[in-house]
Amino acid sequence: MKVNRDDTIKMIVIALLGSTPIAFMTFDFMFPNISTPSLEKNMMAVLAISALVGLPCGYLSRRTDMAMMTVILYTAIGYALAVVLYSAPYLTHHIALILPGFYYAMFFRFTLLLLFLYVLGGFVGTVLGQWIRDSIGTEETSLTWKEK
Amino acid sequence: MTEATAARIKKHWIFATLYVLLSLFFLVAAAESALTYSSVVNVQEQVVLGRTTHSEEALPNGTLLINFSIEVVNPSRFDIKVNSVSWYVKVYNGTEPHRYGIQIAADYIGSTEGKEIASTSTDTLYFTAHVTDPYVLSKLNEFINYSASKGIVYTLATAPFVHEFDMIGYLAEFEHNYLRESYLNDLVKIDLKYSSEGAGA
Repeated sequence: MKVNRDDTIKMIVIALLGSTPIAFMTFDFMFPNISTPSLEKNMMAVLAISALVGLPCGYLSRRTDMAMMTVILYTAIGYALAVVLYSAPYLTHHIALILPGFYYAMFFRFTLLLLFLYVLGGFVGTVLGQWIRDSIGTEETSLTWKEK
Repeated sequence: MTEATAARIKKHWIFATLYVLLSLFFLVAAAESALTYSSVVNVQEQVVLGRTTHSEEALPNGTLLINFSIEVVNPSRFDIKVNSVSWYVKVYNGTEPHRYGIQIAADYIGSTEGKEIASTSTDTLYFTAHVTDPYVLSKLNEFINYSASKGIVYTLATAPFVHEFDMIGYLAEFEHNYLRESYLNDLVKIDLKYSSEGAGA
């Protein structure tokens, strides 16, 4: 796919804004008892928020391939951010991690399923975003012609 | 950005603002949660057992009075809800691993007591036991007499008493009753152990 500079900037801005909910939801999935607020491992809520996050991708982009790429990009950035949040105590308090292999294996094992949900929800949101944009466009056109 | 995209954002500024606010909300929530996580992990190293005292006194009627106190130091910002506290006084006959312990006294505090160690405080727990059970005293006297036959002189008050203390608590403001995800319970669990034998007391 051919992506120009304008598309790249748009993708990066949307990906950065969309990555924070992904990071939070992943962290919250690991530690629902200490995160504020918490989704309490409610997968439907995760899917709904994923769709909400994916909405602007479809709304702001006419190209479906680029919107889908944006979804994958913000999911990747958000997940990487979640790994940083997961490592926070060991980065800030100089506490030694006893079994780092096990610690991170547990994270990836628990949250792997979420990646599918984020991408699926993001795609659903993209379709919804495009539908909203087209509906608004149709309505505007209809109103404009009605006035004339 | 192209003029078309900029115009679209400008036109639907409410939509764009809501999206930025949504992102900021989750950014703040993620940062707050990560900071809480850091604090919770740090608490495991901060909460410690402090000064301990113990005394054993042989009373004129042949019974034994045992006192024990221990400090729980909680410098963290979280209250600790005490789930269980166990205190045992034993006399060990023999060496590891096949040693036989004579239990002299014990006490237990359960979760129903509702005891809490307040944040940034030091709480001292006191235990007292008046050992009057003839069975326990006879076992102890047997041990003292046997030791004397081996050339080691003990009295009722100077027997090698070992005080063992174990406290399990949870950080009060967090959930800790998960059935499947036990790592979540462990995350907010405080487990403190003390043995006067290990401490060389």
